[in-house]
Formats: sequence, C-alpha cells, structure tokens
Amino acid sequence: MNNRSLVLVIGGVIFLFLVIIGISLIVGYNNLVDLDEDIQGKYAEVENRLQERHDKIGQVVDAVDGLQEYALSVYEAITAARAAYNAADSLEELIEADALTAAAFTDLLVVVEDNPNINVSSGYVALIDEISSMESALSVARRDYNESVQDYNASIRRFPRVLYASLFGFERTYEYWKLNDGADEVPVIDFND
Amino acid sequence: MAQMKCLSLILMIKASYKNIIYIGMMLCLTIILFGCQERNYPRHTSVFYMNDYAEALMEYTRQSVLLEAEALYENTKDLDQGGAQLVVATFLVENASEIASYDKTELYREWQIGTDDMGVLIILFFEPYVENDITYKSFLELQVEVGYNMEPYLTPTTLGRIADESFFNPNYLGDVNLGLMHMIYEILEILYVDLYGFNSFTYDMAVFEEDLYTYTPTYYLDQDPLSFWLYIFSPYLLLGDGLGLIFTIGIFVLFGGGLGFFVRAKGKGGSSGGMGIFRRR
Repeated sequence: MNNRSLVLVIGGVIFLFLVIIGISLIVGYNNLVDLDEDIQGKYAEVENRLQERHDKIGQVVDAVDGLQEYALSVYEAITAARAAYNAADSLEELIEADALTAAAFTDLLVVVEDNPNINVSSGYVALIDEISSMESALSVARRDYNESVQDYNASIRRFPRVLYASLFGFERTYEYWKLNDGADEVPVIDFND
Repeated sequence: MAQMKCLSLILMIKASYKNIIYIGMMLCLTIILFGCQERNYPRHTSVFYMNDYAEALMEYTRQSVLLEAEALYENTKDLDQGGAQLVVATFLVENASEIASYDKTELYREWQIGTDDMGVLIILFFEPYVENDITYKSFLELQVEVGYNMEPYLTPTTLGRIADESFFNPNYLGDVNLGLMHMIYEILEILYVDLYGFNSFTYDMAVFEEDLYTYTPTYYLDQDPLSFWLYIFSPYLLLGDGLGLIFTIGIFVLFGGGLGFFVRAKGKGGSSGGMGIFRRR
C-alpha cells in the first residue's frame, strides 16, 4: 500500500467517523427536542383539565343548597382551593392548588352523601358526573405528564445523551407532578344507596 | 464460458432468494417482538368490537352490538372526523374491589379504539354468585371511556343521562342485554345525527327485546382473546391497513400463509384521556 492509498483509507475512516458523529448528534438532538415537546404538550393537557375542573366546581357549589350552613369547613376549603388556583403562577403552586381542590371536592362528596340537611338541585348529579370524569381525566393527564418527565429526565442522564444534553442546553430536569396519597382517586358515583 | 455465466446466474438467484428469506425472517422477528410487548389486559377478540370475557351476554346481544359497531365504522369512515369505533368489553371479577385493578384508559389505549381518537369503550364488570349449585353472574359496574376527540359529543353529563335512562332503566328489571343495547342505540343516535349529520337513526327496543328471547343462534362469535399468532400475522398490527396488508401478502408469498389475514389486531390507533363515566349497580 503506497502513501496515497494510506491517506485515502485514513481520510475515509475519519470521514465515516465524522458522518456517524454528525448523524448521532442530529438524532440525539431531535430526540431531546421531541421529549421536551412531549412534556410541554402533557403539561398543557394537565392545565386544560385543571381549568375545566375549576370552571365546573363553582357550579357544583352553587348546586348544593345549605353547604355554608352545614359544612362551613368544606365550603371554606373549596373557596381556598379556588383562590389558590387563581393565584398559582408556578408549577409548585399549581400542584398545591390541584391537591387542595381534589381534597376539598372529596370532602364535599362525603358531606353531601352523609348530611340529609343539604339539598342538591337536579343538575347536581350531572355536575358530579362531570367532576368525577374530570378527576379521572386529570389523573390520566398527571400520569402521562409524569411518564414524559421520567422519560426526559432519565434520557438526559444516560450516556451518550448526557453529552448532547449539556452540548445543546438540555440540562434542566423537570419536576414531577406529586399529589398526596389518595388525592387523585376517582370517586365512583352510586346513586342507588 | 456459458457454463460459468449460468453458474453465476444460479448463484445470484440463490443469493437473492436467501436475501428475501433473510429479510422476511427479520420482519417476522420484528413483528414477533412487537407481539411480545408487555400487556396488562387480554387482547381483544378477533371480532374486535365485542369482547364478552365474562360470558355474561346473550349471543343475540353480542351479534347485535357487533353489527351496529361495524356499521358505525363503515358508515362514517369517509366522513369528516369519521371512522368512529364503539367497543364493548365485559370482565368477571371476584368482587367489587377487584375492579380497581382495571384502568379503562389503559385498556382503551392498548386496543387503540377509533380513528383520530374517535372511539367509545363500554366496560361491564360482573361477579359470580352461586344459587342452588348454579353459578350466575351479577352485574357490578358500568364504565365508559371516550376518545379525546369524542369528548365534546359524549360528555359525562350526556353519558350519565343515557346510562340512567337506558342501561339502568327499571323496566328492564336488571337485564343487562336490554340495558346495554338501549344504551348503545342512544349513543349511536347522538353520533349519527348530532355528529355526522345523518337525518335520523331509528331503533325499536320492543323488537330487539322480542328477538332477544326468540333468537336461535346458527353460529357463535369467537369470544376468546386474539391468539398470539393471529395477532402477529394480522395485517392491521401497528403498521396500519396499507403497510400491514402488504406485509401480510409478503408473508403469504414467502411462507405460504398469512394466518390472520382478515383479523383486526388493533383498532384505528385511537387514544383517550380518562373522560367518561363510572356507574355502580
């Protein structure tokens, strides 16, 4: 093998190596972008579901006659949760407001079921259906969001993606959407009791 | 020289045949690996729309549900937001607490119901009870899950009203066959008329009730979960109708048979987000 051939072979190997590195960088970067976008999409879904529930829960309170009189603490908890939701402007505050609303709503259901002095309007049953469904949808949205966060957080810590992550500025990890145990359980409606 | 050319031609043909076999085997392996994905729930049946795993429904109900569900998909597949799929599943559980181990959203997503998330999944839970040495099945809970894009049309309020007026209609004296079919007809009426703009959708529960108790089945729907082999050789598996069909034809040509040529291994790729209703007996 003469010198020219040797140079060609070495050049070819270097070129191939650079092509592989280039493709790997492009694929790695695109993958991180996809994972990041997925989290944004899932977060938006959680926000949509929270807004829907927030809009409905006021109607539920209006449909329950005598709540302030017989279950002031529940009424105040719902009011506080709604205020917390309106004031939330960070993920932590939104999670806190979500947990407060979920807990207050569960208390409301228990109070209405156990207290014969509380009257409910005819639209109450439909509203409870809506809220229960939204709790279910919220639970799914939170789970989807947390799975996306897990995929992303794990991805940027694994080799070799950890290199691309620091290279392309994807070092930030996302917070999980944490709720207290049982706070996201979906109440099942049983009107036959 | 001619002999050499002939020999090289034979070798080329052999080599290309080997390549085809090799590619075919790789494709098969890929599909088998897809088929081996972890599953939390049984696969749906070969008829997709009707999955009476609790064996709690009468054959006439099963076939009626299948007929209506197939018609819904066929009648709407070319329309805007079309290709809606309605799927029914029943499960037998030991007691009510076991229902918590079923997640209707996960099941919906595993079966991928509906084109562009336009689907409805109705799940009925039953528990066994014994009376005079005979085991009966008692209805426990109704759950309905709707696809993301179906949410505006089948809201929880609408579904709750339909469930109360049809499924839990006291006139049916707890007969789930009547309740289920009435509920499906009501859902179909909304989909056909309100969503797809059909002039009307008519049904007669009195006729259904009469036929239900007089029908003598001449055949029975397969109500076992789709077998592994039917699943992996289905043209609909993951690849969608077009590519899946080509793949199945390829398998047919290469290995002499596509076992599940006409079996739908998944729905139309739909997903859902937890909206729907829960109703206990």
